[in-house]
Amino acid sequence: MATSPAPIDPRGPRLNQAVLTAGLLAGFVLDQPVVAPAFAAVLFLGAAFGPRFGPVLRFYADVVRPRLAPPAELEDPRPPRFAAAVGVAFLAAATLAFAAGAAPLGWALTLVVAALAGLAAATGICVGCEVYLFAARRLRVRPAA
Amino acid sequence: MIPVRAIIVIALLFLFALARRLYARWRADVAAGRVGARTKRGTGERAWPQVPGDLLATEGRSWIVFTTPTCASCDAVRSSIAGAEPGSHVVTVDATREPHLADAYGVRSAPTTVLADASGRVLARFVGAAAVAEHLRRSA
Repeated sequence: MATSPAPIDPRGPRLNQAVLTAGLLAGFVLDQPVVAPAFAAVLFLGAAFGPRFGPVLRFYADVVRPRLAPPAELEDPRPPRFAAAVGVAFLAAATLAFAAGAAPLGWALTLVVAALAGLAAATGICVGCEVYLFAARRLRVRPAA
Repeated sequence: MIPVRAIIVIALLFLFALARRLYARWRADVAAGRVGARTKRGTGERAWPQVPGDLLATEGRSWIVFTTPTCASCDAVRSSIAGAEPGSHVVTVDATREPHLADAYGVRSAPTTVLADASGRVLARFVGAAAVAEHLRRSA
């Protein structure tokens, strides 16, 4: 069984979610479908390679965090990474929809990501994270094969 | 004429703010023990289940601290209890390994601490390390 990775400051993913929400909503209002592939790429870097490689997460760690008091609690990085991966999938699908000329579908998918990311940024409730934790709990509770 | 898109975005922002307010209120209720499946109707009190015997001390009170592997303040709770009540019976339960037990006591965050008497009846429940410290300070 792999040991859990080093815990992270949960405010990094929160900033990531806030930037994502703002960027996607701005793109929606200004009718700039390019935000879908652009933020898909941003999320992908963090989800695939870890918090040091996500642009917003890196910015938080290097610029914002040193100016703040230490966090009250740390969190497992895996649930937000999973949630970001789900976001990448939706935004990639949105990009394909835009490329295929199905703009309403593209925006619908984009808005789903914006809504969930915005909910997470505003309340700390990360739906993707909860899905990961639910699945992880079920898998761990099952007896070892 | 305001474009439809702007209206949608404004509605979303409003919903985020609303969700934030409702969630904060819900968390305050949970911390105060006012919410849950086993709430006694009308009194707002929460009837917590009896603590299993294998977690209890043979006599006297027991402190049960629900933790997670990444909880930074969980050790602080143990040491504050040990400092204020040396020799008291303190057990930690990893909420990720005991999800049913954690659910039974409404554990949504770590540390969540349950204080029980020798028969397993819950005397108090604290969410967070500060709540435990405050209780210990007041009853010192």
